[in-house]
Amino acid sequence: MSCRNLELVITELARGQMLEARVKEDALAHMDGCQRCAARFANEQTLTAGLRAVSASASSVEAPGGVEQSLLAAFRQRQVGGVPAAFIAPAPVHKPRWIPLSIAAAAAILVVSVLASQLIPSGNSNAPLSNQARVSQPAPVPAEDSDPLGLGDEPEVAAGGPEQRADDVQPPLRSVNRRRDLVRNDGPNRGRMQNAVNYGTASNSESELTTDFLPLTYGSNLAQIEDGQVVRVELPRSALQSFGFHVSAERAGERVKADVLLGHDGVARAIRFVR
Amino acid sequence: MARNERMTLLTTPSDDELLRLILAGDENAFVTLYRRRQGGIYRFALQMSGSEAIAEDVTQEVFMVLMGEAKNYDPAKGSLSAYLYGIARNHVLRSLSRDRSFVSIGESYEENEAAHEQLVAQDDPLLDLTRNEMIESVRQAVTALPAHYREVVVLCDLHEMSYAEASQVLGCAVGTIRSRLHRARSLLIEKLRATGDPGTASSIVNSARCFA
Repeated sequence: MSCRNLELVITELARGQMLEARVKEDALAHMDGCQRCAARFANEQTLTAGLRAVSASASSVEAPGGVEQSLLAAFRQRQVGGVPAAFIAPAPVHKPRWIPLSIAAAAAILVVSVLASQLIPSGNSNAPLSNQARVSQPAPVPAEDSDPLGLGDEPEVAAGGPEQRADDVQPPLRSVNRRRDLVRNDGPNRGRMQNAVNYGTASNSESELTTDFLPLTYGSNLAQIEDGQVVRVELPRSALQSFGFHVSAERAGERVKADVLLGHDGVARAIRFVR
Repeated sequence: MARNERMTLLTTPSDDELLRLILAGDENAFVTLYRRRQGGIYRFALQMSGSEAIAEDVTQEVFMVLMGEAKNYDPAKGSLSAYLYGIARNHVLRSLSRDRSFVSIGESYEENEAAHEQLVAQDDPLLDLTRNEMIESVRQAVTALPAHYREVVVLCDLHEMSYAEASQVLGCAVGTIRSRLHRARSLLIEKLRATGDPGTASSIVNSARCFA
């Protein structure tokens, strides 16, 4: 075997790949008598060892858990259906590399906001707490708040990790009289937001029951909203599916009330359902 | 989900079986497939880009694409793993083209053909690869390779794919993979020799390549 022919197989030889026995024997025999090729082969073997060491050193490296959470939330949203793709795209974990999707999401939210504004009853401005909402400091979650709202047939909220399915969890529903407007953000990227936030309400009925405010955009931190406006809208019951509530097909056409929380920029940030 | 489909997950389902369940809306199947494949995809993106942020975004993108376009996957064209790696590769290259600052590619390698011929030298730090700093040197050298060489090294040497698997991922012939890997490794040797500590080398050969 010549040096040139050795060069044709030296990579496979150094990487321990399968070679014809005769070719391998010829190559080894050539290197016995050629110092340069022997050194060249030694370098290839050393490189192979180095690359394998790099591979081994990274063998336990995995994507951060936040990626799985984001994807799982997106998967759940897809399964309940009816949500534009822009809504279900998870937020970037480190840097805003989803700019096109973010723009699409913002546009979609703006459309929802405009539509929601047009659906506000004219008498809503007389509501006791008005449409103005301000964020207060986080408040603890009362343990006794578990009144079922009955918005869906069997109200269910998707929450928790991948082992926890949507139909295993009851939504934290509560009476407006006892404690209203507790917001929880099961953020898809960086774990759950533990803070609870109080908002004003557009409701003018003390007998109304509401869900928590549910964030409309992934990764949004409702606690960071300093000013907001709550507007009352009516939506098809099927919209509940988008937020993890189970809705039977027979009742999907019915309408339900909801409060949409608008940020000071007019973008819808969260929604809660009212009964 | 049907009971028989739940039972399927109690065994070790193949990627294709999981994909079928995912298309039917099975969340557990999605989680299983994600956990099985995310590590490789993330590491591939990290080793290609040298950026954790890109690697995270790419991993996320890959499985978002799987969610939305899984029905486009054709088993006849390759394994699901290769399909996912292929998506990851496209997104990595797109990310790198947007932000070239992540990779200080020595493009001069390609232009300087003479450098390719000098694969061995008197002072050769490759013998010290067992040291941790040399592992880091190798990693950096891989990251500095031109993208079309880097990807074959990452797939074949770091992810231990066969030439055939790598050809599925990259969409090129096996022969192309083989020749690119050969050249890429030559570039790596040259790069490591150029950046190494001369004092640690003990190579007995001259810098001229042997073509007897």
